[in-house]
Amino acid sequence: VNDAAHDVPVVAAQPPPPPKTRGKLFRKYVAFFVAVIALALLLNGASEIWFSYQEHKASLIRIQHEQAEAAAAKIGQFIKEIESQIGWTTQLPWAAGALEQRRFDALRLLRQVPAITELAQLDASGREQLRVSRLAMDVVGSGTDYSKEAKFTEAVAHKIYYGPVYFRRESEPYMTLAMAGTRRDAGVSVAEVNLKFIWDVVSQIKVGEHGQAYVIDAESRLIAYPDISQVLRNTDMSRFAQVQAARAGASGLSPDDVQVAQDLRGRPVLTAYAPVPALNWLVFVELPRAEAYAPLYGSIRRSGTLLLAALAFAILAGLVLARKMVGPIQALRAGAARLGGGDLSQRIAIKTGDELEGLADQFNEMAGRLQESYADLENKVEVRTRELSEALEQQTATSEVLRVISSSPGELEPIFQSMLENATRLCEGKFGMLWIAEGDGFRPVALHNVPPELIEERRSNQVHYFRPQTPFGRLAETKHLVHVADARTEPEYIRGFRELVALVDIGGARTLLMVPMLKESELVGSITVYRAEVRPFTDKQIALVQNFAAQAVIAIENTRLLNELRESLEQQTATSDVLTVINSSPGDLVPVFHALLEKAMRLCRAVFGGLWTYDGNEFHAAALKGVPAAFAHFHGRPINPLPGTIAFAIVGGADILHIPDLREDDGYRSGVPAKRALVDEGGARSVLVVALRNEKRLLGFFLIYRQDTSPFIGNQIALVQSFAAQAVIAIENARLLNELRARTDELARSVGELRALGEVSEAVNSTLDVEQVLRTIVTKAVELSATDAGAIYVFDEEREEFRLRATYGMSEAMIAAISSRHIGAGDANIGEAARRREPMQIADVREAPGSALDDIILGAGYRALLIVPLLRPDRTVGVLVVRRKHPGAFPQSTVDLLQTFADQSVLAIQNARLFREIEEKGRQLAVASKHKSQFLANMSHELRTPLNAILGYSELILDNIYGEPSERMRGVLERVQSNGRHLLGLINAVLDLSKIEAGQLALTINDYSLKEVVQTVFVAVESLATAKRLALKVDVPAALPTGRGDEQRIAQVLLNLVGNAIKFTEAGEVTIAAAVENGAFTVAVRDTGPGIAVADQARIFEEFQQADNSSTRSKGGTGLGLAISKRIVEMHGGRIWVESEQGRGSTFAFTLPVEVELQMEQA
Amino acid sequence: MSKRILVVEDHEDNRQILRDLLGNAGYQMIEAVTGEAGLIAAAAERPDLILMDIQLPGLDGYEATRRLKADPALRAIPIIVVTSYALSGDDAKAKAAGCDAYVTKPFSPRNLLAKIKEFLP
Repeated sequence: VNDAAHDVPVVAAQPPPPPKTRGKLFRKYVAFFVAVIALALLLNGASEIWFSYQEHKASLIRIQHEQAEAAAAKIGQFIKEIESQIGWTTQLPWAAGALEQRRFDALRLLRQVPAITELAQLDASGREQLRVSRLAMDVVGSGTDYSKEAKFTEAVAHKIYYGPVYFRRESEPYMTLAMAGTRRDAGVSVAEVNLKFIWDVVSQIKVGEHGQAYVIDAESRLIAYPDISQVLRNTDMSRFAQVQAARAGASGLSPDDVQVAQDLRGRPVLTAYAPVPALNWLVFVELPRAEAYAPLYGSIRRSGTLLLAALAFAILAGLVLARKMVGPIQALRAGAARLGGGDLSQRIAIKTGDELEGLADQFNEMAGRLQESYADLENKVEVRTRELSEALEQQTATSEVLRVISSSPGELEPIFQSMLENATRLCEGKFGMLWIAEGDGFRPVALHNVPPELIEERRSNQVHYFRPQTPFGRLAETKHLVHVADARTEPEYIRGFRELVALVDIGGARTLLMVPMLKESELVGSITVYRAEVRPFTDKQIALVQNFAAQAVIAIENTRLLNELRESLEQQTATSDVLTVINSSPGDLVPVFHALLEKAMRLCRAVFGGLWTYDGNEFHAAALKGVPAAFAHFHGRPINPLPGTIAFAIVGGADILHIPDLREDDGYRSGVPAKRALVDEGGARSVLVVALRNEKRLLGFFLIYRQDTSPFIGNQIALVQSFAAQAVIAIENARLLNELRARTDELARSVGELRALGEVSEAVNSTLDVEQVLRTIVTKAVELSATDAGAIYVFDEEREEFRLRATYGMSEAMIAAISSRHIGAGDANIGEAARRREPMQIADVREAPGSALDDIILGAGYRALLIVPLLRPDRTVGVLVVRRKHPGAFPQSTVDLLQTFADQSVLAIQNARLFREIEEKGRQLAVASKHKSQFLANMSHELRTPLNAILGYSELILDNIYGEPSERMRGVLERVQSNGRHLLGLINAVLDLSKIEAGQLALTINDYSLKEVVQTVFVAVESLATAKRLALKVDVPAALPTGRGDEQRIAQVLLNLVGNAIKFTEAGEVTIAAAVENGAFTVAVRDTGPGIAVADQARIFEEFQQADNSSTRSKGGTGLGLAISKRIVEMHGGRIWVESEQGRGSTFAFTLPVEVELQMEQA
Repeated sequence: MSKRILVVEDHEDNRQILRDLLGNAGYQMIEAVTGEAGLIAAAAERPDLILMDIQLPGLDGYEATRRLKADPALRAIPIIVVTSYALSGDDAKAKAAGCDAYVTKPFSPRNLLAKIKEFLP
């Protein structure tokens, strides 16, 4: 409704600007109309012009083409005729015809054919026999040789020859035409033909006004053209597009002729051509384009004029039509704008009789309906506004009440007052009252506008007790609201019930509304509003008061909760204060007890408080507060739980004793002294006692008293109980804390000992400096045993005395003094402990004299000694001594500790001795190893030097340096050489093996090609195999990865294996195979030799082993090769093995990682 | 004029072999028995090539080679080292000392001659 009410002015404020819209629509219609007509005309005109242009052009071209063909035919005919004339001159053979006859024929020909200027006749050998000319003297039998010229050769070859066009006297075009006779000996006739005839043909061709024709020869040179000078300039036409196209067409390449091109002067022309048969000439006919298309341009101009006229007409027609169409629309728009502007009474008048009129009618109808609904809406808005203002007033009141509630928590009066005021005002009541249930009646707690007379009247009885039949009675009974239209009609009023009569007659109440305040289903009060006139309350007013009543109940409830919260908060604060004290002084209970007592006394308003603890027999005062001076003496003493006392009851199991008046207590009356003292001296009357128990164990009790008889209430008792519980916790905490402290101290001590032991062990293990280890041990021993000084003595077997080895806390002078003394095995202290092999302590040196050192020790102020022997299973190696300046026994823990230290000392002394021995052994070994290496090096040199002489001399002799040796000598020398080489092999092998053993052989790791290694070995042993007639085969895949390893050593291994195979194989073959798999090379050497027995297979890789020892003698060899090979392969991280069976040959194989790591080299 | 070769070698037998070998091949041989003598002879005689044994009393062949190669006046003389150590690394040591080639003992006279001819064609 509101939206509708607001829409009207908004629309009226923004009327659309009408001229703009009109112009747009109008222009659109006109433009569209004109565009359609113009497009149709343009399309028609354009297509007309296009097609007529095409046709015109085609017909022109056709005509030109025909003319060109005619000219070409004429030229062709001309040439043909000349050919046939010349043909006659070639019929006769030279031998047959007389020369004169020929000359006659020639002259006749010249006469008959004016175009021929000269005729020459050549005989079969190409020599000129006759020349007849119009321009020169005839020549007979000149014999000039033309046999090499084109006119002769071409004519003989092709029967006929057309020469190129040339010009005589720079003015006339000529062409040589040669023709051979049909018979071989007829020779060739050569005619010079004047082509001026062609010019005539060309100049006769007329096309249009400026059209012309021309001829080009086979080289595309111009030979006929209306302008002769162009011809004489020998113009080359081949650059023109039409000529190129024609040539292409003539050769069958392009059927489409160029129809539009340029002429010699560069003008655009239409052109057509025809070929002259046989001559390969082309006749062109061309017409300037401007001339050709002149009629076409006229036609285009006419079409344009027509188009313009049609357009003008179309614009006029468009204007008229658009105006007719836009008029009614404009009227409609104006009308709609008026309606939109709020002028709903306006009607649109359009009488066109079409859809526009229908639309206008619909607009009119709509305007009428809008007019009606506006009127309706205005009414509704008015009603609604009224309702809203009413609701607003009520909400304001409610919110005011709520504001009061929230601004005064815990205080109910202002809330009630505000509620009542608002309820009375909004219910249009005269006055109002708010009641709260109290016992059986109701007490007014808020009054509003109540007439003073009525207040006066009611003063005597504040609480309203009601009769069942009254409105109040009904309210209490039904707990539903009571709405009395007229109080004077109430039966009780008529009966004269005083309260009701007063209300009506004095207060002037007539209509009354009583709304119950219900908490759950309990009636807690009522809001009552009175009117002075008889007028019932509306439903809304009743609902409002009900709402207030509900709010009042919530406010009452909130207030109650708030007060409870405050109270509990106060108690919590007290408790937390106590807990703070407990936490801040763990273990110290007195401040805790004081805090507890103080809080308990304050909260319970007691004058005295005390806390006693129980030790199992009696109670001791742990904390007291507010003790009266007269009573003070009593508290110094412990309390015995004698029968009749409070303590007795507590020990008997009582948890709480609450004596409202001690003076009335039986114990007091029967004269129990404790109670007497409490009352008579302490002035106690009401007493509260709470036992302190942990589980069932009694720890003490908590007592407070007052000097009046007011009893302690439930809350207070609970509070004291909670304090008692906290006291128990505090006592327990303190006990645990003390235990914990004791335990912690103990642990700290153990940790200290352990750490010291750890340090000692570390010293023993980390250093071999025995002095330092022993010093550490003495230091720790003294520190941990809480003594003042200490020392370690070691027994010197040779001198049979104890020598000071390590000290702590001793002065230089004392050390010097002790060192100068002889301490033998018989010493009363150190000697005795060593002899007994167990710790010995001297509580006071003064009391037990006897040792040689006593004077020094006493002189330095030491009194107590603890001596622990350093024991090995077979003997005592020394003693550990600690000294203390005050006398007394050492605890067992110290003795145990020092025994551990003594054990460590023994270990350290032993370690040091062992290490010295190992070091000595190592040094000896190193020297021995060095000697061995040196020996190897020397031996290698010493053995080689004589070998060099042996081998060198034998070679020199064999090389005839010393003259020719005898055959026998030569044999012997060769044996010397071979034995020498064998010896060298042995030396090398032994050296290699020794180096490997000594770890001196280092691999030189480099990239290598296994294929090349195999190849090298193959080349080295090939001659050996050949000598034994063995087949040596290699089986290596084409592609092997590059390896990393010691190439030379690998080659050595392979050479050894292949050498062995050849050596032991008598017939068959030896194969070297290599492969790569899983990052490792496998190299195998197979032979067809005798094979190796299984028993020998394991042995052959050991030094100086061959399968059959006899074979060593027969086959030679050191027996070291395989052992060395095995070491080398293993140094590479590989493996070597043999597979063999006797009589079946052997396969020796080894693997090598493709990439050998450096650490393997060192392994 | 025949080429001159300085042989530094302490072993008489070996010198004799070389004497026979080189003399037969048409070389003139100068002899030195110790490293020190070798250095003096090299400076005095300026031979065309030096054959240097490694194991020499006193100054060894490596050191002698090093000193010869350090002398700008003698540096150009090719030195062939004769080593009797077949220990791996000997060739590296000889090369480090600056020799031009090396042969291991026991050497084949034939091969040694071939090696010499590489330097003295």
